[in-house]
Amino acid sequence: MHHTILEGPLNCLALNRDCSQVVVAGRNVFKIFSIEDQEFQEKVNLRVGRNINLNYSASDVAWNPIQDHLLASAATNGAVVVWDLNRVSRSKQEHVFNNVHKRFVNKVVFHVHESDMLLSGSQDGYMKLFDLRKADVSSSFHGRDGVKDIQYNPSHYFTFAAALENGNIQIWDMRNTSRWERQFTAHNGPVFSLDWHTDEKMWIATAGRDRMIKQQNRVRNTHTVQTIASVAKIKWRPQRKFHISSCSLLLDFSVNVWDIRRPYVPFASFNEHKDCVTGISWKQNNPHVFFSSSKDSTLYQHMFRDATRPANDANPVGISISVHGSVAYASSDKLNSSTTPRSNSYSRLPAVWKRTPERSEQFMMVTSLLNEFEIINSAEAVEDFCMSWFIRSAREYKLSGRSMAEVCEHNAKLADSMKRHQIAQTWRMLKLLYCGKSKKAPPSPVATAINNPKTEVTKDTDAERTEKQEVKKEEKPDTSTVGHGIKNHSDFFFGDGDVDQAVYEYDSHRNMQDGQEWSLPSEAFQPRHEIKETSQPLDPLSENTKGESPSSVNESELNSKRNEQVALSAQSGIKQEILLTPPFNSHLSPWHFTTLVRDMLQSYAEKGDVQTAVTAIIVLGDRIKPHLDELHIEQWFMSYIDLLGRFEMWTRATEIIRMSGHPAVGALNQLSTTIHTHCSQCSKPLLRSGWLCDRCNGQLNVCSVCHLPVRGLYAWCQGCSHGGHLHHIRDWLKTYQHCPTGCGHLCEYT
Amino acid sequence: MANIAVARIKREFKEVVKSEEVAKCHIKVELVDDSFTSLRGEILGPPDTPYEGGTFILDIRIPETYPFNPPKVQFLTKIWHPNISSVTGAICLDILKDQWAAAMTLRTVLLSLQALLAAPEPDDPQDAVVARQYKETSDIFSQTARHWASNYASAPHREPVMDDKVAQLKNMGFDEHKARVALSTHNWDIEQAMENILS
Repeated sequence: MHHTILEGPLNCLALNRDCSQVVVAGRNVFKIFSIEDQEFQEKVNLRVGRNINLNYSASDVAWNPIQDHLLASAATNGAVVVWDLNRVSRSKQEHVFNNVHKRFVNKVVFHVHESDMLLSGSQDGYMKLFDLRKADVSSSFHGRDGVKDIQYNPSHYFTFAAALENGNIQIWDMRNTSRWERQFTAHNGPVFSLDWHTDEKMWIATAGRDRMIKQQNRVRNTHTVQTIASVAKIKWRPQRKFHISSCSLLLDFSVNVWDIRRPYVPFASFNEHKDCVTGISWKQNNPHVFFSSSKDSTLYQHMFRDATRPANDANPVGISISVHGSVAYASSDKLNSSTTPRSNSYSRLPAVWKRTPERSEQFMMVTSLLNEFEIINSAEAVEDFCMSWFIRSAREYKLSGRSMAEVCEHNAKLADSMKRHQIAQTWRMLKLLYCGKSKKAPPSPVATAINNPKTEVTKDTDAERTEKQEVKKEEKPDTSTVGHGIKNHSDFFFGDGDVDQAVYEYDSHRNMQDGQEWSLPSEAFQPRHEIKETSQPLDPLSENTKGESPSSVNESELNSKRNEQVALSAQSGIKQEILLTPPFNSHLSPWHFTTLVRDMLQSYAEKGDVQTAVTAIIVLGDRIKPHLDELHIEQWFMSYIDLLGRFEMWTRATEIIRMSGHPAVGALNQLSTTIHTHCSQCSKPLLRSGWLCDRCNGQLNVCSVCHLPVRGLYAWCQGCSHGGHLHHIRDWLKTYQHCPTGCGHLCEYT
Repeated sequence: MANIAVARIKREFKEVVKSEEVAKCHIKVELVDDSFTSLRGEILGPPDTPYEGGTFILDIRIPETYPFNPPKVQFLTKIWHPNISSVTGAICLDILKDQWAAAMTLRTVLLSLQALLAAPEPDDPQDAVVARQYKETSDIFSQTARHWASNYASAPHREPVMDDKVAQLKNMGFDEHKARVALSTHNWDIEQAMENILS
């Protein structure tokens, strides 16, 4: 593998007959190199002369396959230029065909067997056949659309194929200039390249903007290769029946060699270029060497042994989990055969017959096994796994329409009923945080005594914060009971000493859950809130330090403070004395729980429960939105909507979109909806709008009641797709239950 | 009459006139007056039935609520058929009753009636006497039906024996139609028929 760097991007390259020289051309380059063992040696620079114009830059170049001194190039201004290397003068320009084409010439090609026949194809839709002896156009073919590529059939003297911008391939016979012999649609969108197979007479490969390489056998499309980008050029690999090389128009800078029988992984890949490859040319009858030109101004000679093999790097194992909990597992059979050697068929054959298959054959022999596992037993863990909770909560969560407290309570109950206590707690907490004050149970004696709303708030939030911490602790997937979770993780929040306390807290929670009303803050933590201890320091400090200290600091300090209280009240042990050391009444500002709520939502989203995050955002609305990152919100919404889509809960998804209030998410509902229609009488798909069907000439969209065409609103039963004038359908369904057409469907009118 | 009914009937009228069946003289519909509320239909007796070759006239009345309610159709031509009253010409056909659908038109109704002539439904009869005869003595039924068709619907195939019996009673001074009904009802037993007429 070696390369040379030129002074400008290259558009094309061509090899001479015996592959000893290569010509490369671009906007600023037009040079001939001789191909040596280790390098390219510049032989001729064709871009010389007094006035260098556009005729010296080329979009395509061709080397005469018979007479080695003749070259042809397609200039970007619509001219076709013939070059003679045997000319004695410095400029080798032999003849310029000006004004033959009205637009850009895409391709020039010499006849395979006739040195004097040159064919050009242009964007103006014409293909011109030049006779170099006369130096004139001998025939002209009109393809009706821009010609992107043409190529002579190597096995048929008169035939050539043209690739058109409209996706068609035309097969022409040179003797008939009026009309193509055959035409077929090969691609969606422009066809950029085509190539006849050298050995298989009827094989033609085409490639286009639709990112597909297709191998056609006469009219039938037999193989299709999917690429990642629009394909600019394709070339069959010599002596390899199923191999074809391709380069991309954009995005992908490598040259890929495909085996058309394995359409998704390239057989080999050459990644040397740093910009789009514009030309590929195989050394004649040598499947191991080819040349490529690129927009990065380089000309490469590639050896096949340098290729990377993407298939070898491909992960041989894949696993996927469906929304309903089934697991699909695919693995290459090679993995299996290594563990069970008996499955290797070669080992059983006598040594004589043993033969290592060729690499390309190995490439084709790849098979894999796909196993699908379904969940049948309904153990609890599995239930979690199959996300029935998700479906149920998606269906039954209430997100709007009532007061926030009711909504939260409803959702909490729902979560409880599914044994998702943590989520239930979250909802209850949100209710308390944002609308709990009004519903509070009888205020604590001290609170009344002080009658200071601020203290109340702090006390309140203090209590809730503890819950929140519990909730956080519960955020382990394996927590079957709340208490268990707390025990496991309490040290993270409370330090070693207060396991007992945590359990106590949990118990109190549970009691309250059992209780009819959520009145946790006042009841649950009443004992701990010795008012004398808390409210006194709270009051001044809250005013002093309000907004000054970040809430995380608050949290830890409040924590420690509470721990002290616990220690004091419980008189538990020495361990807790450590906790006594922090100043008891240090910073007690009003508690900014918003940050915590934000963190909580984030943590839910991060561990995969976007449902909770999104529903909470919807319920909280502007109370929380300003504190969250727009991008995050969008992401969560999008993934939740995506999830709903997977569970086919489209209505729910639309509701979420509508309630999101986020411009990017809301835009989802603004996307146009495509409804495919067909004639009600002959079932022909309707491609255009009109009153009559193209095939049966029957009137479309007639009212099933009055049999007149409906202009305007067409009431339409989604069950049987019959309908008509709104008032007629309404009247009909007043007296009948069945569809007016007699199709037997019980239409509903609401 | 509501606009919608007139508009529809006009269209359906055209549809029948233009239809293939009219071209083959299978069905026909014409106006009685200019109001499109009352029409006269005509159907040809279907082949391979006792009614073959007969022309049966129908009275079609379009209700104001059409097409929300079915048109009222009855035979004007006397006919011997289990689902059609031999006295009034009233028809027992589901699509003219509860199974009416707005998608149906004059053309489909006429074709349905033609189909009814070809495929009687004796388990859901309009005329119990005819139905019983159809089920018990189907030979006599088809002869009777053919006799009626030849006499009232000018069908080509006659039943000479029955014609004679009717003529016999007629000569005795009885009304021809009454005689025919009596004979048909009593399986062409003259004695019983006479008793029936006289009683």
